[in-house]
Amino acid sequence: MAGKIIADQIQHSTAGYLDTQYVVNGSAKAWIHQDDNADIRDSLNIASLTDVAVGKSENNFSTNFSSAYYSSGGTHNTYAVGNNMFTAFEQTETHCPSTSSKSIDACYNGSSFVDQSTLVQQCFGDLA
Amino acid sequence: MTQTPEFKGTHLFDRLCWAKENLEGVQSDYRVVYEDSVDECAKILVPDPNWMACALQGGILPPVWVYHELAKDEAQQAFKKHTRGYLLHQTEPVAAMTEEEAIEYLIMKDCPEAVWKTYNEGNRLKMVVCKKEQLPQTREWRNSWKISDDLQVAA
Repeated sequence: MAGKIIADQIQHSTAGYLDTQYVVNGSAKAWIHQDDNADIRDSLNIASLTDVAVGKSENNFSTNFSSAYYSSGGTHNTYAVGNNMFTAFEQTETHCPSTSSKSIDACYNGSSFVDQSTLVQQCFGDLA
Repeated sequence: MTQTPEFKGTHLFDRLCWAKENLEGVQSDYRVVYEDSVDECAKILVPDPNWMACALQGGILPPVWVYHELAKDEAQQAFKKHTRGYLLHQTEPVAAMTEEEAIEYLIMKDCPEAVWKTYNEGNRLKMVVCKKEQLPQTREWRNSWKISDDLQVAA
């Protein structure tokens, strides 16, 4: 790497200071922006995605998370059906979260799944 | 061509950040279609453009066996946290691959082992590598997609 700054805190001239561990621990370690054909527009730390079924996909990481207890968030385009849609992250007995992949589902009223023209996901946590 | 720094010992995430800044993404036309359950439709594995750029560049990604070792650890009943994450960062990175070799690597990394190890055993194919344009052109009936029975295993 070109260079390295080692510091435990960064300080703004007027707005106060911040421990750099907030930056390290609080930054997204993986993110993806995909379309309704399951094509990946852009990403970080993603090796591939698995198009599982209508409205269901799974993102496979390049660098594993250290444990399965990381956090993820996501959103999608809701143009087709207004405000009744939401995105759910499947964590059932049959599809446990893994350190190497994370599923993302787009639901309509919590029942049927639908493809989205835009689907994004971010994952936060410690890497292996 | 951009020269890859000596990355052995560098955290894999840092290498990926370097690649994102220095390499142009490569959208692959290859898709891997596989079936891992008779009750479910076929799944499609789509390579990531940034990952593909790393694979073609060489000197960035760890060998695929590293992921298998981590998967073995994770499969243990008592697994809580990876203790051998260093394998991702300390193992000598793999050399530049062709796009076809990269797809083979990705199959072994992200498809279930039970699929790719026995894809051509049994009565029908469980996995096929194809081009994107060979998939149905619309996602109508996506939940019914299956690998065609007409496909033959290459000799």
